[in-house]
Amino acid sequence: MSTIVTKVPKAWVVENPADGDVILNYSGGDLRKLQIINATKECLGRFGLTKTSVDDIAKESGLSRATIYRYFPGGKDQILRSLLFTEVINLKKDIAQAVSEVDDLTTAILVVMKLSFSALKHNRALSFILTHEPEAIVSYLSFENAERLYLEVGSWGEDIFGKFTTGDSARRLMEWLARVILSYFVAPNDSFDFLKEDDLCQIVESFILPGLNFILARG
Amino acid sequence: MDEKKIKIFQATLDVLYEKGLAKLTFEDVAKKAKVSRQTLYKYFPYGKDQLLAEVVSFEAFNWLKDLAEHIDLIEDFESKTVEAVMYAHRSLKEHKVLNKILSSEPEKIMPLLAQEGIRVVTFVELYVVNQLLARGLLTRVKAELAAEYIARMLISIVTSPGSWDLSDPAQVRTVVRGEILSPVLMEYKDTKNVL
Repeated sequence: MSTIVTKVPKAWVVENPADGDVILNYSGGDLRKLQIINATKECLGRFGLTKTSVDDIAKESGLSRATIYRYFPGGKDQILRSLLFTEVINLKKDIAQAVSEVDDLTTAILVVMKLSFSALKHNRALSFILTHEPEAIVSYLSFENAERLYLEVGSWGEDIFGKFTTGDSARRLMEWLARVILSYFVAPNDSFDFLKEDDLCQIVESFILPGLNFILARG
Repeated sequence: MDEKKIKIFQATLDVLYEKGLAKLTFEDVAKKAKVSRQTLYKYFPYGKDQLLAEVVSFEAFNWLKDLAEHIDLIEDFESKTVEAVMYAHRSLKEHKVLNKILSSEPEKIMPLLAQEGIRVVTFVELYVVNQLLARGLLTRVKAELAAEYIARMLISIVTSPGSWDLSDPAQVRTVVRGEILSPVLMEYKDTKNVL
């Protein structure tokens, strides 16, 4: 039991909010889920998205297939969705913290983008998948899966940008940034690097600020 | 493109709708298209995978051509974009085969769409660059970067609308003005743009 406890990451496991099933309690079941999700992350970083199987996850986590399906009856798909949302919620905390220390909206936007790209870049599982099976990322993070992500991230708008603008504009801005970040992450443009200050400033100034000013002017 | 190939593509789409992607066989397509299996292999020597990849390309090309024709007569750039978003969204929603497979075997079709998606973005990018340059809205270098951004946002919003109701013209105009055409907003003579 003690080995499980030491592996617990800082966020709780979050089920796909669209299913209306958000788990926030520190219970035995959640520890198991965290264990499975962590094992999945390991496997993704080693075998990639397509080749990771529930058997791999079982082996890595030290749990049986039956146990895994008990906690995630939807199998690999459901585990991946939970993993995605868990990572995303973790990111939210970092972003909220960083933005709380900033005084103007433009800097807040820069901070959100920088942290997001940095987190994406340093995620081992994602790096592996992006290198070896880039088309897997694109196909996984599009259509319905991307929609769920945008709706979830959009809902953070008020928490992140609330002190700079109204609820609706904040939500809109948050969803917008999520689209930009996701698009340029899954299919990068070689002419700019989002982790370079200058490039990032250029992008925000050329692509985001004009539209943002327009959005804010209308309230 | 020759008539026979088009017939084969049509037949493939029919079989995809009837049996789905996994269960589709050359036999089924040959029968539906009323051609021999040899003929099919002549056109698609690499087999089912090649056929599927090419039918996706075929449909995507037709879709884009149709879309371009639909918005061709609209002069105003913003209105052209609004109509493009609405029409694209509507036609995707109404594509029977696409929706059937997306709901029953998404993991089988996503990789094909992802691959084709790159070509679609490039096509849209080129179209937008030409529009921007023709209207003198930006210099060449800026137009290319802006067009890429606009193409990305268009595809993102049309395929994953998120909180936007793309059947509502008012909402579409809102997202076109704000998020999508953001890079050209300054240049676009919109009196409502306040900085």
